[in-house]
Amino acid sequence: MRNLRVMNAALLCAALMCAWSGVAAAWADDKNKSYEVSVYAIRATKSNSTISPELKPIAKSLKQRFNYAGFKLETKKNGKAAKGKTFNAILTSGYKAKVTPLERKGDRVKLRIEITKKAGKKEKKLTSTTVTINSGQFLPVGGWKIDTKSSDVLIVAVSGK
Amino acid sequence: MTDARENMEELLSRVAAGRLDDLTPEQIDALEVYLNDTPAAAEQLAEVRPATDAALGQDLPTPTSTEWENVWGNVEAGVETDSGAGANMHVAPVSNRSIAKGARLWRPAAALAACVALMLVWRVTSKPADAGWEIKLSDHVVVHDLEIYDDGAGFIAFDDDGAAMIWVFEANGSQEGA
Repeated sequence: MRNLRVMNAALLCAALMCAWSGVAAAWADDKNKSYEVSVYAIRATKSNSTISPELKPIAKSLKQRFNYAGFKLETKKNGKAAKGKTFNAILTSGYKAKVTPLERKGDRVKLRIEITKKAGKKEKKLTSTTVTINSGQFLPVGGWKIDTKSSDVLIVAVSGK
Repeated sequence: MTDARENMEELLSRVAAGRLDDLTPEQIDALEVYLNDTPAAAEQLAEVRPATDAALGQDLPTPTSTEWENVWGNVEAGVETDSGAGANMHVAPVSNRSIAKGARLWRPAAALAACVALMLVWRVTSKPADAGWEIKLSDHVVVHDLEIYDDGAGFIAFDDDGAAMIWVFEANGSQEGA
């Protein structure tokens, strides 16, 4: 009988913990779900004309805007950030994108974008910009050399909604 | 004859007073014959109602709240325990034990149901943060500010359709991009 009561109490505690964690997670999720952020790290190259399947929808625009033939998706980072909170996306070759949602008006979203590169133990700031773009659509920012072995450059496409 | 009649009336008075047990079988037989022969006496006896027991008419004291609590405590103890003091009360018949057992199991059952429900809600409502969405360049870009560090240079190029891109030249001028 005592064992049954102990088991009941344990199960009730587990249920309460589950309920609390669920509520807390839902609350946190709701808070962080204010903005979704997506960051693509794209390697632009002249050594080939390969285009990653994920980039096919914008391949024509990329070729028109950038003097490169191949565009390879190096990495893709998606996450959520509350208004005024920064989403950090570690890219490739020490590059990092910091995206801070600032405002949403209708189908437009205002973002603060900062690109940095790891230099030893420090982070070197390369560029920062504040832009307003269509919600869910991307702005390409690029031009940094990815490595010393090639002339490939990094293009960072950023979006928020 | 008069004595016999008076005797019968005496017997009737005893019956009317509820003292039927005082009569002998012979007296009862005689009274029965008398009542059959004397309808008026039978009718008079039929209207007579025996006096109520004095004890039944008393206002008995009701149980106090403490006594009620003790009684309910004993009942609950008998329902919850299968052994020990509660078992001696025999308050829970065999057919009711399943009900009592079910009552004891509702907590773990409810806890399990809550866990399952929470898991289902979490699975349904949560969306993987890595899902992302299809890439499409914005055709309406407003650049509020742009800073290029480390002696680099940058420019903003707009397409005819309003799309824009930001291009950065590093200080060593290694790019030949846009």
